[in-house]
Amino acid sequence: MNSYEIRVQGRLDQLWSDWFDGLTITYDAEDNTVLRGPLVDEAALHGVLIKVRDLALPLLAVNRVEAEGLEQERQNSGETRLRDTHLR
Amino acid sequence: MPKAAPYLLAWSAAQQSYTLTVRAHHKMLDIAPESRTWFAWLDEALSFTFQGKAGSYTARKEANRPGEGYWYAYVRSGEKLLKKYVGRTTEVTLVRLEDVAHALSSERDTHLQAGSSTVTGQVLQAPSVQLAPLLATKLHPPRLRTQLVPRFHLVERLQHGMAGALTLVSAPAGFGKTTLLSQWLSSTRTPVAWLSLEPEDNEPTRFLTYLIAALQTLDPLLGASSLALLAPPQPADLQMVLTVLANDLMRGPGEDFALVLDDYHVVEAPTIHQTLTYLVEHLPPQLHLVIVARADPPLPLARLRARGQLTELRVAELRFGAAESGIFLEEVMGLHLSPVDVTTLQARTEGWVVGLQLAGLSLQGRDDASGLLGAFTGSHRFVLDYLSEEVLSRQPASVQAFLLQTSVLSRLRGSLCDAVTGLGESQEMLEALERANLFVVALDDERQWYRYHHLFADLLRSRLHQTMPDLQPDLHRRASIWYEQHDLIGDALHHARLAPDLDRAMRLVEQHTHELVFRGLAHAVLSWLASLPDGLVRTHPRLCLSQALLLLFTGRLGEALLRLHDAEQSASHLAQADEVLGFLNQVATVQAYILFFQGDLATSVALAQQAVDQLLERPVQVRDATDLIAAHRVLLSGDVRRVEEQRVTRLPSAHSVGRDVFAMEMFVHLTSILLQARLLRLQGRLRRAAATYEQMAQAQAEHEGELLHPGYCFGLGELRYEWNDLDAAEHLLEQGREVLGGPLTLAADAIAQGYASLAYLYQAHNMHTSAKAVVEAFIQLADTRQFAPAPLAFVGAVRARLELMRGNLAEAVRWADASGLSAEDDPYFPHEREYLTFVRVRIAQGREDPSGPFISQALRLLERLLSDAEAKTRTDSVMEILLLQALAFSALGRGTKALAVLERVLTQAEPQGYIRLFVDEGEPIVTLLRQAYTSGITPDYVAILLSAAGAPNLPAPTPAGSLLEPLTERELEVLRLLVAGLSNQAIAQELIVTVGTVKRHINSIYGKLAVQSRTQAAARAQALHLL
Repeated sequence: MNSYEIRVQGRLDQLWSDWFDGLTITYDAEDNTVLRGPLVDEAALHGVLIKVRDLALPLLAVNRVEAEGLEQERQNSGETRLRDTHLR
Repeated sequence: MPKAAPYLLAWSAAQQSYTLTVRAHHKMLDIAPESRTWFAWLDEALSFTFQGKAGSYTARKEANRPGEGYWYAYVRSGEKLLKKYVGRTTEVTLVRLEDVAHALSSERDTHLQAGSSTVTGQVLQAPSVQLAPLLATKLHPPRLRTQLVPRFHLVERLQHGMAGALTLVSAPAGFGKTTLLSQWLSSTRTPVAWLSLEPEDNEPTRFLTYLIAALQTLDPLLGASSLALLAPPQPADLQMVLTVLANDLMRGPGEDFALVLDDYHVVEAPTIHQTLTYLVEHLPPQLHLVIVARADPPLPLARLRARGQLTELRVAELRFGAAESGIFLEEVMGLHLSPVDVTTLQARTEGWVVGLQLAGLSLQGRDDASGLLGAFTGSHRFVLDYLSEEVLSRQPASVQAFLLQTSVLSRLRGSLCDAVTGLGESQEMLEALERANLFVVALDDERQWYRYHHLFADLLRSRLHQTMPDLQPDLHRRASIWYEQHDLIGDALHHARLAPDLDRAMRLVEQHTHELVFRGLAHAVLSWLASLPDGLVRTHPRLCLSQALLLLFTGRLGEALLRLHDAEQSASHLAQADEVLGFLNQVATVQAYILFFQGDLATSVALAQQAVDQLLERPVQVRDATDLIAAHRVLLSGDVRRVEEQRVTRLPSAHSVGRDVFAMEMFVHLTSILLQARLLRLQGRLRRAAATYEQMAQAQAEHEGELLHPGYCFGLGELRYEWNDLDAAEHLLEQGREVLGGPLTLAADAIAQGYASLAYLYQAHNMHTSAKAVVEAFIQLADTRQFAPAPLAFVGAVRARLELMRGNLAEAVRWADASGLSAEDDPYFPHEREYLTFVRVRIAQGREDPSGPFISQALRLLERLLSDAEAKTRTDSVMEILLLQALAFSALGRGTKALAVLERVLTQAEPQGYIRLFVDEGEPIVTLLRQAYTSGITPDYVAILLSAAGAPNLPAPTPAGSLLEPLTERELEVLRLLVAGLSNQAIAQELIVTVGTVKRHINSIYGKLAVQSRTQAAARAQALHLL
């Protein structure tokens, strides 16, 4: 499983974390939003990117990053919650 | 548009007569109904509007072939187009027209009252050829709000785009794409068809169905033939549908028209992108496509751009400038802001329309506008987050709760929202939200269906997920129940899965399998089922059966059979023991149906028979289908003695099917005619068989217009081939191959026979490579469609015969030796063709090696084949067997015997015009036919056969100087005495032999002279100068 870092313009509420498949939301020095975390594969990454698109968030960067430490972070964030299987 | 028919035939109560007028000029035509001129006019006219005493409709002629017109009546009933057969041109009388009007209006009433009723428990319940009711809101552009910012320059660019093939409106959510399109729609004079896409439309069949339905909002007949191809149970190949559609569109209206595909970004299926690419490249010049999406679609945009065929409207164009922002905030949102504030807002939102709208909502009713503006512009928060919080927090708690709870719905409707929220008055709420600009879009003019602005819906769902995650399952479950009660099973299933409520979801699939297929959701449901643990499915017998049906309807027959097997195995899990037998027979019926098409006739017939015997209460369509499959037992026994009466009595009732025709009825009807034709062929009644095929084409033309049935093409093609009408045969057989991709199915054994005839036809043209290619194509088809071994074995024999025809005996022998057939077998009718080829190979071997065992083997086998064929009056087989006997005798040097047998064949074959039966036997039969000719056996017929075989013309049958087998000295003596008039007794005394010996000599003489009596023998002896 790879981890990714998606940078979008503007400060996005923490509320959206669940919407973005549990990726963590942090902010950089310019107050832009960084979505970060492990995604199961490229298809999952594209799914997230489509959500970025659908919210009309200006996309600044997408990077693949080392998974170090992220797995732990994810497990702490209530991973076991039932996830939607989206039909639409 | 809608395109009006050019003529109007109307009943005038005032004048108590019908008048015919040319619409364009309001000119009355002086044509008396049912006069000679009337029928001449009908011959010319293509359509007219009929306004009779009993009702109105559009009558339209569909020509199947030149000079023959079939008239149909069309009338719209709600979302459905009703169609009814009127008659041939010569049958179009006022009485008939009124009858049809009457029938249509009562049908229309029942249709409107009935709504969509579903019948459960029907295993093979036929999906309708007519479309399942479509979601009308998808074909409807969202309704415009009253106040809008006029965007003349953009509207003008859209209109300008009509000069090219494609217009692309591509920008992220919330830039006012759809609103702009609606604005253009309200101002343009170009007729526009609309289709809003949803994720479910990723199924190509469903996508095309809706696309054509959208076009039909302009002209109900546009694309009608391609739509028929898409009807379940077996939609045609996409490529075929597209070709037909492109042709349809070419013949479409002459004026420009446009098709808008909104939300195209939801489409992910590559096949749909390919489909659209094809359409864009084959668009008739009048049709313009407008694609609205959040991302550029994967179409050849660069190419279109280079050709100047593409108009693009992107973010840069769609952003609101300062002036537009000012108008928007002032006119639409009712705010009075200073130009500086407007500029500030425009800059902060970057002209994003949704941002401006949220800002406007936040500012409404506030005193400290600049305070909010200051905080807003000072924040880095995402515009949507910042402002929606502002907007939502200002709504009363009841509105907030309503918005969050209904956000699980992709479409909103008063009663649906009532059900989900558990409160009343949702309709009023929706209307209030719409008035307040709270991102609610009305989807129809009646204000029945709404949806949230997509962006807003995402936001609400995210909030719901965050704030009330425990509520979600209930909301989805309630939505699912409402949808189920309203027969919208696709949506019911969708919400059951989101709840997630697995038991409910499985039950919905089990109970509404056909409904899901109608709605084009078969693929979606199958992929969901595939995601379930296999063990779970296996322990739910009805779910296994449903999955098998879905697999069947998507052409995955092999997998369907496996699931049926699981269904059988798991039947014990059924709650009630008394259901088991009925269930097993339902499974058997579906198995029989699949195996029938795969060409495993023996198993199929047995299963159908089992269901017929055990399943007493069967729904009518299942009963007909199983009865029919069981009736194919005659193709296993080869016994055609009694079948004719039975089959013929079925025909009239089948012919009377004139109303809403169901695919399964159509299958039963056409397949029973096909069976009848095939039996006639076996009885050697080629002409009756051909007439039956024609009858079938006619019956079908009444229902399906231009669609041809592969069974008709192959069946009639085979007959034309037999009659050596090679061009017509080639045309029909090739056409048969083509329409096999269509929605009308044919059993594998009939397909194999059609391919065989085509291969022989190419061989007859000495095109051996083409002939072999046909065989290979069949094998490939068999692989794709998972045919049973039987048709493949048959085609293996065809390949061997082709080798034999081109003189490659070694290859044919290799087949015969490996075929598993033996001269000592007791032949079984379904393998008769293979045995006959086996015999041919052995005879050919016998010619090379006359002292070997081959000919006698062949003769033994032929003897058994003949007694079976004769006992069962299979004349077609009898003739072929006798012909091979003649060839076998001839190979043994027994020319007289050979000729005598050949004569039997010729006499029987002549009235039915058989030609290829003989000619395909090649050089050996030519030799034999020449002898027959010389001997004066049916010389006219033989001359035709010889000329078909390409043998040089012969002189008129005059006595030749010698016999084939000269008379012996002793026979000449007997003949002399015979001619002299002596009795057998006298001859015996004269030659000092017994009377028996004399008789033997006389028989031999008769044989050699091919005569039956003394007088004939005398005449023949004289003609041949024998004495």
